[in-house]
Amino acid sequence: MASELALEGVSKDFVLRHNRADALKLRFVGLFNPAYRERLEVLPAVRDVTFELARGEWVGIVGRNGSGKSTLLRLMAGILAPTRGRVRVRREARLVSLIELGVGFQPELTAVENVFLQASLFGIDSARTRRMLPRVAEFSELGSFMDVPLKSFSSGMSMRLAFSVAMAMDPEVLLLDEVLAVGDVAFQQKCMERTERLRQDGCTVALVTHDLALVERVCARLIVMDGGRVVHDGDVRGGLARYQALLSGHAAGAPPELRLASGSRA
Amino acid sequence: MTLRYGPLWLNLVRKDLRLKYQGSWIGVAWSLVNPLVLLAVYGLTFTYIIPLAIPRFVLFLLVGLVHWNLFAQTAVASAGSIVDNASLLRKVRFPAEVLPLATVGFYLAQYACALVVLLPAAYLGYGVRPGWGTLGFLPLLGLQVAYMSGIAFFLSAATVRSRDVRHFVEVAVLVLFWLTPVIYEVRTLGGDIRRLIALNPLTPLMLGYQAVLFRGESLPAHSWVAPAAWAALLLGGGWAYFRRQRWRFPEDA
Repeated sequence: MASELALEGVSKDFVLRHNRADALKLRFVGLFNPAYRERLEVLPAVRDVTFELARGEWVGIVGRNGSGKSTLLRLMAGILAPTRGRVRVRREARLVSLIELGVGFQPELTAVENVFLQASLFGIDSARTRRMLPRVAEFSELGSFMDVPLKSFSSGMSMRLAFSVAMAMDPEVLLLDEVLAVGDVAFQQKCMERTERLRQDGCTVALVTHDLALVERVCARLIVMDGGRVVHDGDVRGGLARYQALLSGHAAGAPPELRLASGSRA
Repeated sequence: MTLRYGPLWLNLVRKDLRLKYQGSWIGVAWSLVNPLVLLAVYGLTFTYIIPLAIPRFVLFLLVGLVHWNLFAQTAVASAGSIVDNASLLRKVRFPAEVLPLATVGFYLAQYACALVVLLPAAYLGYGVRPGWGTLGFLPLLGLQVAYMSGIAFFLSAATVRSRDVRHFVEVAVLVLFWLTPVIYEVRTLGGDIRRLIALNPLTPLMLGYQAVLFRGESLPAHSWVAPAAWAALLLGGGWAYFRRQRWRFPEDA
């Protein structure tokens, strides 16, 4: 089976700058007071990860906070460049990553304008976006709001719009960070039905989540991360047991070391 | 790969234009206000207070100012084009070069609005009949776009390393203005200052614009050498630096 996405010995180090001392004043103070001196720390967020995703495979990625799962997802999406190793994606695969819903949404622009902007962010041309529009309006149930600036949308409406755009892009490889279903219960139900159709269409999905029930329901394979490493890659049941063990070990063990492996410093 | 993101570039330019002018009464006409006010101020100053004795001075000023504005505004704004879009770069994969290029596109659009209104108006006012040769400024504009793109690549990437770049550019542009023949003619200068100004990469461009758009001359082949070389150097250098730094953007911007 041809793989849609493959990671070969992928590692990612972040450099943490403690007491980031860009300003001359801080540097000067640091000369006399070591507490203000800049220290660099290399933080291995993902260590030597190798796996493949086959077409149509649904894999869940779980791990404690700071275990490197979000960093892994962003490496898979090609947002971050690996420090070592290689990430390969099948050429021409329509890869859509939802690290966050509604990235780049502009409150001053209308829903339609935002759909064009969002789609082009994923490399989709205007002709295809135009064909996507009716489906976006229908799925999001925002028909009469499509020409209204996004600033008058509720946050639920924005989420629905963002999710609908992602689905209308007909992803072949879908990378999700905690966003599989949004909105109220009825809309979440709709999301899950749409997701089922993705499965039938042979879409490959990697899902980072803390929702273990969801993992059991939709994933056939589970990857468990701990300290940047893959500690389990295989069946869901075994993976969940491993993860539970990690969680309880963590609760019983020594105080957690500082892990900022997700790398978002905002 | 990058061609796929042409629509993104266009959408970003359009977004910036829309955000800038929406909710305003005269809309895009605001892009004429800045050059008009500068024309009035410099025109009055250098006609009545410090007379420069350049004939058709407003036309001369206009030719220099619109192109200077295009350059200076792009340089200042491009410094922030990566840093200000850090949240996008952290969450979606797309070629980062679209961002500084969108800044170039945004100011190019405003420049075009100003040029197509003000230049014909000035020609009409002075009774100048422009011929086809006037279009000879387009290759010069092409070179200027190469200048600006290279500088935008460099400044946007350098700002990720150090936020000082932004402040530096704002000051540098103030100085550069007086070292660029925008409101004075180079041939009236002598000696050292003239040699200094000749070192400015913008000088051959400005002299070209003045020859073509102000005096209606065509440019001899040798006067293309310097701007073309500068364009290749700035674009190539800026792009090389940008490519070396780009992996940092999702982490450090």
